[in-house]
Amino acid sequence: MNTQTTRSGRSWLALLAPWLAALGIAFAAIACEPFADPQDFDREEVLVFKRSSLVPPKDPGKPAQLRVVAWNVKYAAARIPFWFDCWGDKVEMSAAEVDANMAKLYAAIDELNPDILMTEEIEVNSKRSAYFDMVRGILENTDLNYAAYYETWDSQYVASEGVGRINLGNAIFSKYPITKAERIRQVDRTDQDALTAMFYIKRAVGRAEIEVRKGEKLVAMVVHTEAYDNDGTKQKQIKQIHELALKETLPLVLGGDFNELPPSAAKVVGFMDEREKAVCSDDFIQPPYTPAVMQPFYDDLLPHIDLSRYGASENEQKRYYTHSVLGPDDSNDKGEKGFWNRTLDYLFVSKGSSWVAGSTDVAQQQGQRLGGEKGLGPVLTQDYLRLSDHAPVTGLWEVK
Amino acid sequence: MRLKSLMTLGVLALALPCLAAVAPRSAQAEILPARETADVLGQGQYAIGVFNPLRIGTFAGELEFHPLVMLVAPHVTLRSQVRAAEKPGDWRWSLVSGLSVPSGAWRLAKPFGLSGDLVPSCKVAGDDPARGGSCDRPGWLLAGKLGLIASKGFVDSAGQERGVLSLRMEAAGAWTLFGQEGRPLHAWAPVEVQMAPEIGQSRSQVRVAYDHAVADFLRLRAELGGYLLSRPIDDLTSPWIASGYMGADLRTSQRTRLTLGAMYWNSDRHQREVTKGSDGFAQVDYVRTHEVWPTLDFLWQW
Repeated sequence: MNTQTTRSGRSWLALLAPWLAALGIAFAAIACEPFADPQDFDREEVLVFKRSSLVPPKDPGKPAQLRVVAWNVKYAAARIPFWFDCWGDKVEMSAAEVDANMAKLYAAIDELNPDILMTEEIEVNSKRSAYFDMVRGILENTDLNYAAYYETWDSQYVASEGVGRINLGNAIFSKYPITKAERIRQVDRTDQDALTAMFYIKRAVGRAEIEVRKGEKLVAMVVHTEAYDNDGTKQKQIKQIHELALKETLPLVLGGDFNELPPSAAKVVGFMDEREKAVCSDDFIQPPYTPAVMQPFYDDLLPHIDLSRYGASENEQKRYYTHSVLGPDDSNDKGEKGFWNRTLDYLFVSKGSSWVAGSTDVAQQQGQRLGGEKGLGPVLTQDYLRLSDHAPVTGLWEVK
Repeated sequence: MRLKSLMTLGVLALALPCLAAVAPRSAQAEILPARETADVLGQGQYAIGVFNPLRIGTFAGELEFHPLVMLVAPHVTLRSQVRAAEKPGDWRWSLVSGLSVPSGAWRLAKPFGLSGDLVPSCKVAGDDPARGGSCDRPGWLLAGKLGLIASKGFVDSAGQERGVLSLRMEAAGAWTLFGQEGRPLHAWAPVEVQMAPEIGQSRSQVRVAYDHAVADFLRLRAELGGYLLSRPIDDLTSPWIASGYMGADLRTSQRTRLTLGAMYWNSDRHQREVTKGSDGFAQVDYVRTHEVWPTLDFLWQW
């Protein structure tokens, strides 16, 4: 060891020691936020959020009838053309834009009046949505009393396009108490480099046990599977969801954005909202759909729109489409106005429970009667085509 | 993260004595000079680091710029000595002024620029100008800065200046020539502070540093900084940022030195913490963010 001394005769190491000690104490005292939450769990319980003042829910009846809605709300971006959609370059909304879009979402939720609402792409602290806490917003501005938020993407800073901080996930809201909430990890993509993967979304299934009456519990599950993988990740995630659904012993409603077409989809390629020439990143090119992977859900559970009602032709199926990147105020390269052009969102319930006739539908647009022309309604007054790039799917679930 | 911090400390603790052991012992009479003080390079002197800018001593003072960045984002800083030290331990003062046109870097993609990293690439607007309305990239800006550095030396019993206290005050801002101001990045604090004027925000800073030669070949440095950034009216984050630095400079040859240390930053990056409240339900708080970054460079001066 070097023993050089200063002119005062003290070892320089003796001088160095207090600095290093101070540095060590300072570092040890600092709890730094990780760059990105690795979501290192298989299955873990999450905390439940409660409305600041509860709105007493109606008696669910016997057998219980519950209005359920699943909706990908696109982090309140409505029809603002975000960069990964390839029809615009928007990266970040202003607080005023988010406030205005959230107010429209509240009105739509009030109109659909769900007892259980399952949302995907909901954000609680993202730069692109002005750090709006959408879970708290929905709780305080609708009649829903409880919420479980299932974080799937928590990055301190995403440098790509200046996206910045992101905290996105899925949520289950309920008028009735959520007694247990947990998230179940889904498999990750394997076709990304390590750095991209670190900051990328980590998919998870959200599960909530809801007590509709003392001692009467049921389960809601919200899902949102991968959209852009080229390594079969989405198919594995869908299979895992099916397995989880079949393991449930309590009555189950499963809903969300599966990013997959129904098994009998008439149109599987060439959607009107795709660009004719590539203008943005290859990362957001739609891989081929594999509709057959949805068949087990139709075999083992009860879909809110069964395949006979869904029809066989594009013209019949159009009535149940739930997604379009382009909104009605925008046109594609051929000049066609945007409209729902494929089905990606679903509701399924376990056998042993049922859907009330005339109650199930896709809330596509203003003036539509929910459940069809002879359906239970209501007639929609909100402009669902302009609220998100997905339409809500809904039905009245009867649990014996 | 604490483990990581302790590991950093461990590396630092091991590295310094090891490097000291291999440091040259010849011609040790001269004390390694302090960095980032009010002193400027003399005419004909040069300095550069792997990460630090090129500094050139001229008749008008010291010119500073990053050669590689110069092509896409022209910039230059001039440090002029207002008052030089007449003898060790004197106060000295220098004026810092600078200009930059960063917009090229915001428009060129990697490896020449940062388009698509930190700021939007606006690819759709580029290929389909009819849809250019949603491009939020900073426009063409002229950024400027003006500041003052004051340093005071402290001499030992032999009359050699071993300690230097430096105070730096600086204000920076930008003028939008064409297009729009950029939105705050809300990036990691050192990036946020460094880039604020380059995207059209203003930045004021005060930094106090003390640098001490514990041996002729080794200096230790500690610094505290405070920064105020401008924010748009609807921005939720606090504009105040604080920093602290501790590190060492080690002479590796007559003309080179190795610098290493760690920088601590405290800023509001809208960090969210969810805890279980007394009622058993989730409770949300927003806290300031702590960041610790290692610093390392190898500097030449001739």
